[in-house]
Amino acid sequence: MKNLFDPDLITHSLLKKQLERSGSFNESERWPYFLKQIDMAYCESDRERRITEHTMEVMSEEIMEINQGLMAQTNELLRSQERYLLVAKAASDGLWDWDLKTNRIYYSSRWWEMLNLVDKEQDSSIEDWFSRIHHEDVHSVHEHINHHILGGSTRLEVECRIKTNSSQYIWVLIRGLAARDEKGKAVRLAGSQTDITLKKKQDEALYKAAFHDELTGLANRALFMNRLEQVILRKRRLGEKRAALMFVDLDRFKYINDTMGHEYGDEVLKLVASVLKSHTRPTDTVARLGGDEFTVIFDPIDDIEEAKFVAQRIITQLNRMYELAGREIYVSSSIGLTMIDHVQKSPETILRNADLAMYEAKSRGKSRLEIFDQHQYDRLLEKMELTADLRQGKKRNQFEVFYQPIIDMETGAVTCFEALMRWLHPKYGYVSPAKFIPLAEETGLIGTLGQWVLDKVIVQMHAWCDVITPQKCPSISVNISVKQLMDDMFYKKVLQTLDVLGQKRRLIRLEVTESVIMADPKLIIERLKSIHELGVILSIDDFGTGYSSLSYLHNYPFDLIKIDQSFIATMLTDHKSERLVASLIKLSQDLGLKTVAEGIETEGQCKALHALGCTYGQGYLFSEALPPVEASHIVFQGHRYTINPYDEDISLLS
Amino acid sequence: MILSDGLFINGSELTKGVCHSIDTSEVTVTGGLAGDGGVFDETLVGLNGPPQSRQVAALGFYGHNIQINTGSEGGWDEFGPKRLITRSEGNVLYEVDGKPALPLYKMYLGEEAKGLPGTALCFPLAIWNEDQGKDSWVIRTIQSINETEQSMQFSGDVPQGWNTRLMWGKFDKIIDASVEAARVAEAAPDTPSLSIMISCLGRKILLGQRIIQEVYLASKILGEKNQRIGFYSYGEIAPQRVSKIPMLHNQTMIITTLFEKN
Repeated sequence: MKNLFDPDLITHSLLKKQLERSGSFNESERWPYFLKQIDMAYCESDRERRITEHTMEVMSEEIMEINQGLMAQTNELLRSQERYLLVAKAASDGLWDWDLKTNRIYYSSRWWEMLNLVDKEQDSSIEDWFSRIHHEDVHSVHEHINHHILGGSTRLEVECRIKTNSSQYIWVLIRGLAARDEKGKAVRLAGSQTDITLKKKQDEALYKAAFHDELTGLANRALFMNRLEQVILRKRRLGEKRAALMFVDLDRFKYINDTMGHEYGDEVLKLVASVLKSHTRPTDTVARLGGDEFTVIFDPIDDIEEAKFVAQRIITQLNRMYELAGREIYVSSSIGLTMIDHVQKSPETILRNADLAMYEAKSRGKSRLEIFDQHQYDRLLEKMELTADLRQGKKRNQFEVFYQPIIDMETGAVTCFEALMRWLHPKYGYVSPAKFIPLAEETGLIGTLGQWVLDKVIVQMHAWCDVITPQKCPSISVNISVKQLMDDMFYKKVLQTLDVLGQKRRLIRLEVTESVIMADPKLIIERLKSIHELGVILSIDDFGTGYSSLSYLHNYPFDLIKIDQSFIATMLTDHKSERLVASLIKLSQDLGLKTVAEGIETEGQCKALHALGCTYGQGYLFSEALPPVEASHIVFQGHRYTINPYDEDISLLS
Repeated sequence: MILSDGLFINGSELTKGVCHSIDTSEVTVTGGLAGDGGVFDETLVGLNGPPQSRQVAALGFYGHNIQINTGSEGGWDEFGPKRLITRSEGNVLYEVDGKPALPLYKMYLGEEAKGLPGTALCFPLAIWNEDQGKDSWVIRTIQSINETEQSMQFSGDVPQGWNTRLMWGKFDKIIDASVEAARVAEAAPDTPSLSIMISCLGRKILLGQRIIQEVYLASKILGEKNQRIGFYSYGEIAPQRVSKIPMLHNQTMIITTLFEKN
């Protein structure tokens, strides 16, 4: 037994240790202790085995489960891959998938097809792509990709030109999205490539249509204004050399259109466009604003001299005889020129300046070049302001009617008042009728102003007649121009107004001014006769000046001739004037017409006119134009002026 | 050498703190957290006086000829899938792979789960930071479980985002680990030496009577001129095998051998 407990015979370290420990017990205890140790060792061993078995079982179950999950994922992946392949095949877009870690890239077969290339069917290099991108676009593509990779954009979207196998460029839209790791670093970039060449062409055509003149192919007004703005901005910001704007308007283009037809007119416009285009530099902009208006921006230009030189050269080339569609045609144009420099001006102002200069060229006889002149413009501006004020003045009651007495040269009685308009301008004070009447005529405001004066005069006349009898009431003369008479509305209104006056019509006189050649003398004669038949007295104003002729005295229904004050002013010093006045008075007497001398300022003039037999007189010698209150005073008091041909003094009798 | 209270201290933080003030490339740091045989009542540490609870002692060995060898081995094998710690706070683990950690753990224990947390010794966890590589793994043992939270508290930190795998130990391999540790910590031949053996109490509970083999087989390696002292601990401190950075280990046998060069 002792030998049995010799640990040296045992190899297993646990059994060895158990034997060693059992050896220290006495014989009766040794066996039970030893067996107990063995029993525990078996139990522990079984427990370990159980744990091991259970662990193996659970692990294998878990692995099975994971395996099933993986298989399901694999199947889903396979289906998704099939789906992807089908979609990729069907899609008209090329697809790409770029592994940023390995820098390898996959392109779908459609991608290769799009570029007329044979599908490599294997991983390709990014260079297959980038080397084909147009050199002007490649920088932008790189920038967009880097921006997206660094998280600067939510998706990649960039357009570029890419070279096909046949060395032609097509436009493509590249779209993509980066896949990122948990730290947000892009590890993969995938997306599509769409052929947008057709769309680009359509866009281009649309752009061309939107910004180009269909007939001539030149820039249209919208593009021109945009270019002009760009040029102005550049001059201002970069202090570049100056530029110049030329405004070209064809002379008599309407005539060409009217006589030769619009189609021929269009051909002329095309011809002009081609001449302008061929005599300008690529940096210049030639545009057609509409109709027969063309503009050219010369950019850059040193100074006005260079601009003039260039513009003059174009005029020489443009204004000449052409052979067009089997006909000879002389093209002539008027040109306005203005500089574009760093001085702050809007595109609209610069265009207007060139336009104004062009108008100046027209008014100076056409077929010439005019440079924009600021002073000339300032005068025009003043005129425009005054015109605007004129409209306002009418609305704001800035006008008044004053009355200047017209005296019977025999009796000194006031037989008539000339109604004269006064404009009290809020800034300039009284503005002379000589200044505003032409403006009113030009702007067409004369119609309403004339009507207003007539109404005012009639009210005044009624007021006087209410106090004194109409028989004693002096008449009132109102100035009307031939231009007003030509206006149908005005004429009808006057007829209507006079018509309702009844017998009092004779208290109204119309003084007709003639400052332009009558376009339609027949119509004027007809209208004057109609007014005259109502019993209204007609006089011809400022006779002897302007366009008035002796034939008027014969053909027109005038009762009175007003001799222009310029003759009166010089009649005492200039023998010819004196003779002219004398002849006029004599002629009128022979024709049975009465005469009114205007602008009598001295007693000498008065005496002389009296001696010559002038019927009526008017001027500062007697009275200036008076406000209604003062005129009324004269009317009501029945004042008379002394006309003493023998006496030195002429004074107002009370 | 760090000897610390085993109950009222976070061993991981203690080790980090010590390393913070010592140049670990020059000084070998080993040690352990005192145990109380599984009672978890009080653990005592003393220096120049009676041992007390809530104490940490540090011993430094220096001299021109002194040599210190350290071996640390657990003998545990990883098994099952690699999992990701998806929710944890300090030394409390809540979720792995987005699922509660406790049920998974119980499934592996089977009937042994009834004996939790004691039986948790059978399945410690290997944890490692993927960035530092798989070789940087350390062992973590369960201290307690929380059925309401379905969570488990470990003897050291279980950082969120680290990887983990279950481990199990076959008795033979666990015993063999002490042999491995002894081989690394062995003194020069025929040189008198002292080995301080610190082994996890968990190993003792798991191995039962076979625990005697652990010391027995290690002694054979360490030789006749070697003297051995040691204790069963609640945590072991030794340099990590690869990084050489001192760390808190669990379920490990640490042998520190002191001897003088000739």
